[in-house]
Amino acid sequence: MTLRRSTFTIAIAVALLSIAAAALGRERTYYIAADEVTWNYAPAGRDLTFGRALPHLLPGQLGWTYQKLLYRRYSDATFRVLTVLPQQDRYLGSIGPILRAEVGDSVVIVFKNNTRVPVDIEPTGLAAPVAVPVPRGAVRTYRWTVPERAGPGPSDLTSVLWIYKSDVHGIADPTAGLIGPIIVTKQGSARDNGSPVDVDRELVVAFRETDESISELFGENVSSATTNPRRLKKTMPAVSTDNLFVSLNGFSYGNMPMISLRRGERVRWYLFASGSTFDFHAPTWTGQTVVWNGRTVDTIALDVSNRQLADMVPDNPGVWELYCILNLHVEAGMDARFTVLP
Amino acid sequence: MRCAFLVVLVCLCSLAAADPALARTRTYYIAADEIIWNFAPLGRDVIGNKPLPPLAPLQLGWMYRKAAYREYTDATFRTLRPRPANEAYLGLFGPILRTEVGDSVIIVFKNNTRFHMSVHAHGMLYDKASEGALYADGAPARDKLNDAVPPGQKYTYSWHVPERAGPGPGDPSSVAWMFHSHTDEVHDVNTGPVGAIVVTARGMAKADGSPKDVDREAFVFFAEEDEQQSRFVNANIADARINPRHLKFNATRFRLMNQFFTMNGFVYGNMPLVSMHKGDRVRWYIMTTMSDFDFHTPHWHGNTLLVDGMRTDLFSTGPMEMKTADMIPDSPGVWLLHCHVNLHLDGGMEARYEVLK
Repeated sequence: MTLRRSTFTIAIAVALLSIAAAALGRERTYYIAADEVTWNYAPAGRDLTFGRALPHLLPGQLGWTYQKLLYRRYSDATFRVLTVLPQQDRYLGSIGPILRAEVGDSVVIVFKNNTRVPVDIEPTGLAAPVAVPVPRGAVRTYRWTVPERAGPGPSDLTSVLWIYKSDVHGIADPTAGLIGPIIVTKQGSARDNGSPVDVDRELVVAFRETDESISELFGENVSSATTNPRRLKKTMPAVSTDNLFVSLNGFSYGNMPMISLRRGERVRWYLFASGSTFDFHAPTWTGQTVVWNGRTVDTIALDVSNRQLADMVPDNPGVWELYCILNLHVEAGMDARFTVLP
Repeated sequence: MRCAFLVVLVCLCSLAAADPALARTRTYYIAADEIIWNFAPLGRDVIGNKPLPPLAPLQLGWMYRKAAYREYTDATFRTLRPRPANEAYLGLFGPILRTEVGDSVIIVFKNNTRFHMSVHAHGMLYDKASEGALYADGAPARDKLNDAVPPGQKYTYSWHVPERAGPGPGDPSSVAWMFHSHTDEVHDVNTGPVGAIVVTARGMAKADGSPKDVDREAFVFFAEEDEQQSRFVNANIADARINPRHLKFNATRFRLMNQFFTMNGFVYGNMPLVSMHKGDRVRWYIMTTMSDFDFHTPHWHGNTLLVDGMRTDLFSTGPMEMKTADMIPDSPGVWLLHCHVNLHLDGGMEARYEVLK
């Protein structure tokens, strides 16, 4: 009896402690800089999905390479050492580093602006102070908290996706590249690294329409011989229309490094669309199905600035396609391939 | 004692029913055929009870050569499987194939068109020899023939129907997947061959493969048919029956004027009535094609539906989506079913359904 009672007391104490620990939450610190980066939409120089040459440049298209502003993760507050992505995460391309939190946590962002224009970093979903433009070279620290209402709702999966972006010049900031994902896991459903316990592999893919002519750096891109080798003039009407790219994480025509999955893994896809003029997408996978909002499908709907989650357990080895099935996006190279290993 | 024996017997029977060894293989004979398709065979705007709108300056007409999948009775591909009168509304779309989770499906395909074509299924479990989609997937050459079957040739596709091809936790007792030609996807889909396969949850299929808890199924395919993107575009322009005004191709304007906003390939109410009875448990399968602006809001007059467990008479759908909507009609009469996007509504994306007493 005594033994039983003491076991019971210990159990209560452990339960209370874990509740307290959960209530306290963790603090997760990220060192993020906005950097100027030369970005190539098709670094292989070929259409890898269909094994052929890239389409000819449009009359007003500068090329495939542009100066962009990207969020990148550093190892500490000196902002000297970039966090290098492991090979299996290189597909993340031009989107910002994945930030993670469990409901109850705080996210501390030490942010440095290494670009020539004032930019900032602000989350959707999380509770954050009002962001103000960060001047060139300055460092700011923000604390974002993750209340219950930033986590999964009653019909969500064990995690949800939010976005962080710069909003100093409206749409021009994310168009220049300043946008990234935040994954929030339900309280008690996260591993130490913040990933949901019921998922083996998480993938974040941005379906993006990017009009480089409205990026902050378009003027620089036009005046640089590196990005504009044909010396097109900014006043040419075609230059204002022909620098529109559709991409997955900044890669067009199958140039995204191939995502590699294992048969039987529990894979969660986090997809988001940017907020351009016609960011209506219909992501579709060949070879596998996903469960999306409780339904078995292989094509989902993803529209302007929205986010969608889909769970997949790959069962079909091979090289498969992930692409937007809207005609005009298929034709403009909004496709990538992924591998399922046996 | 006898009672216990019965219980055991019932258990054994249900085990047998769930035994994958008893799963069926369903074989279908499908050809891609060249047909002359009329988007408005009645020659009138049936909804507005008025003439069709006048031809746009560069519109060839209302008839185009297209390709369609059609079901044959056997591998000789001599006899078309007749379509029952109550399925006439399927029009350009189809055939509708059926399977149950645990089954396998064999598609004996014959390409009767002048172009390379294929059969690419959504949702099914297939390997590279049965994907029917041409891209750089590293598959060996022997697994490429199915991606682009040459004119006049046959190919046999093999699909499996595991749990993940069937209804998910939030789906009703069946789901529908499209299949279409994917040799040159954008152009193939606008050329016409698109059908669907219904997958019923394990144990939920009647003998004919339709779900046990449904009395009537209706399939409607919302499609922008872009005839400039059709593989027959040049053949159509050159054919005096299709282009009696001998119009010349004009890259910038032709496309806008030869695009049809169709339901099962029909415009302006020319789709034969979908007919059902009051009190029927009706399952609508709504599917969409993949043109430049295939965003639709199907809206039913007269009756309501359950979509994702929520009551509605309208929902939104986008490129290549496949959705189910359940209706128990309680209001007899002839009712509209149409897309509420203005551009599409003006372009004739409207049809009618009939609820009999």
